[in-house]
Amino acid sequence: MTAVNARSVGGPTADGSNSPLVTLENVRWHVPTPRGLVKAVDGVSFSARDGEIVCLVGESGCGKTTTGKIAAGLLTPTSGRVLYEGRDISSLRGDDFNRFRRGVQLVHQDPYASINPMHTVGATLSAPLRRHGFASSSSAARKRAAELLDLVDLTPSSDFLDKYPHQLSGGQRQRVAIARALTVEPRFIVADEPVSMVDVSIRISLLNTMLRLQKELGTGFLFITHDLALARYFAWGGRIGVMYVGRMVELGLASDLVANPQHPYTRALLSAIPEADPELTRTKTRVELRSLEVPSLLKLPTGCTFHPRCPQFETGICEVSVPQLLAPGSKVAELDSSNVHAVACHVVARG
Amino acid sequence: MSGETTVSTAPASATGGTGVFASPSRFRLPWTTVVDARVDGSKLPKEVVLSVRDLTVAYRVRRGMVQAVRKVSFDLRRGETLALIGESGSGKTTLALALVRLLVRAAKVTDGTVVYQRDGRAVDVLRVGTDALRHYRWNECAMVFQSALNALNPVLRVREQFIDVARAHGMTNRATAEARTLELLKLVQLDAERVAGSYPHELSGGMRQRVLIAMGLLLDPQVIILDEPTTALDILTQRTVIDLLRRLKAERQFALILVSHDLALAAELADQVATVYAGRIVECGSVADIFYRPNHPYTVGLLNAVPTLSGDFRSLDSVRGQPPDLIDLPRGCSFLPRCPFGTSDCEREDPQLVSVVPGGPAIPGAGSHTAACFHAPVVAKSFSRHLQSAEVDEIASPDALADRGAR
Repeated sequence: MTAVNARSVGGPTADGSNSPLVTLENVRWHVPTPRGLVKAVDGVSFSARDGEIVCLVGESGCGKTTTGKIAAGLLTPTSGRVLYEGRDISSLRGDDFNRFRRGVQLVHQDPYASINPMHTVGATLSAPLRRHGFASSSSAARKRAAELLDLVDLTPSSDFLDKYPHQLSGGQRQRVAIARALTVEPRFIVADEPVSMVDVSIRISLLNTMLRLQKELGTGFLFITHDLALARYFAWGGRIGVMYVGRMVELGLASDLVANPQHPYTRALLSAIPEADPELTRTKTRVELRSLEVPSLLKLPTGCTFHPRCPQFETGICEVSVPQLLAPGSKVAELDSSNVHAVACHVVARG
Repeated sequence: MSGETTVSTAPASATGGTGVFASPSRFRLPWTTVVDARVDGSKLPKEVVLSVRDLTVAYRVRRGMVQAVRKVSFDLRRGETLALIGESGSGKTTLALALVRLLVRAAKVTDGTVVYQRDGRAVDVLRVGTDALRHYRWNECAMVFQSALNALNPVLRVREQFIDVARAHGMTNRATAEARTLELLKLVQLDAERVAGSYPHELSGGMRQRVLIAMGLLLDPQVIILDEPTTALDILTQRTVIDLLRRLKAERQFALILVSHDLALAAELADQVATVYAGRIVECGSVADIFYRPNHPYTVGLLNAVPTLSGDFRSLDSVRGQPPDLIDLPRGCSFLPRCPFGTSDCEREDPQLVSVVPGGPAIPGAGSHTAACFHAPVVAKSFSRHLQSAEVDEIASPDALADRGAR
């Protein structure tokens, strides 16, 4: 899947600028535990182009955070490959590896835990600037830190440089975390539930800041969230992938996936989400599941992992073989093609 | 037993608050001091179960007094759901805690009354004595706390925790309490026997939340206060809890106070919605009024910050600025520093909560739509009706929807 798909939309393909920046190829993260093998991530593939927004959505325990960590190179998959600019990151050494490290950054979920409470904001931002050679002196680092704070709307930046994390609100801390990710001028940021710990009233402004960074700096995002409405807002121009116990079950353009969900799990999720519109939310049709029990990662159901709960379950297919993530009518996965709406479901694939 | 009995708001010396009821569904009110059910100079309507007037709570801290709740008034009717929405630090949880007198010691109720009424008898909750208060809590008004893990005792099995509560509130027969525990756990769609014998850590978040809801129902209270019941739950679990609450409400007819920052939850369950800002109710109306015809700029700001799943893409934005310092509130309207509609008028005085419709009732409650804004008509006019059902006038009550494919 390293080849550029010819049917992909937008941008020239000839000069290679449309080739994927980060690609996950069938990555697995299987952890042996005393009680058995936990298949936290079980064969996930997708890619993100330069400047593209991809959202991973799913309930807790579906492996979206682990997938994000694998994409950022913080976890080595037990099988499968992660490609950066077409090269397997496990083969990168020295300067090449540092290029990858600078190119892909992570923003963690909890800004209360991810920022060192003993360091001022200025020190937090200066360290990576100095370490990676983006600033040659401490005064240059401080100047650049101030620019980064402006960039993430912590203005006036002079108010924030000498503050400690405890003097900041949750939203402000998360802005510092984003600024820290930006110090090394990454091309891709993995943001793991970046707004779930901040107050609802300021979530949107934080997302808007990130969207502005995507537009102005061309930074791509892997945005991990459990909130489909947030994903739809953030990834409006990009794609959403829905995960269910370790596998990607549906991947498509954000606008299309939410308006026209195909996989029974996606449809169940969308129908269950309460919306801030009383008449709509009280009258919308719900997709009934056959069971409410989330399967244990230690003992995953055979075949399609969703089959014990799936309203469209068909004996003889669903519990037998694992459905592949395919575009309708297609036999091969074309996951780097950004206009394909792919679904991993036997019933949907048959039409 | 009528509302005309003793007229007294003096502290009660309640006698005999325990062991007075035969079955959990039939109570005798243990308090001896009953106030005349008069609020605002007229008799309290029979269907009002909780009538709050000018409730004011302040926390004492080193820097001064934190004005967490300021002059809050509302009426809650039997079987009605009131949602209190607002950002964190707006005082909505403090308000809820004050209603069951569970405030921490640093907090003081400095003003106001909380009149609770059942069967035509009423008391001022803020002035009853220890025994009566114990009866009021849980038997009459139960609180279900926010964090389902922290609210349960980690070293006791679920069954023991139910029996503890039952015993503390006078249900001394262990067998009865145990039977009721199982009955309630079944009611919240749990595998009753297994869950009763489990420790909290053996249960998932959704199960724990349902255990807490069942525990709230243990003594069949007339009012239940739920603090962020669905926060931290997965979507499909959230849906089960919402549908469960809707069904329980239809069956049991308790009144519900829902404290949440989640507008969608209010849209799902509430009959009345109150927007809380800086310790005050700044707007209150029916769920349709608030979502489709908001009159306060803060309500509008909240609605404009919620992404939706349906409709076209709209660019959203959060309410700009920060919530005010509750120790040193801004002069005039406390929302002014963040308000796009503010004028010099707003600086002069804090607008009172008044009816949006001329001549309508000014106390939040069923049938009224109130807002505390000098520019309410302008705000209402400027609100873009982006929601799909924005032209809907009345929302069917959740009860009516309970059997309409709510699952």
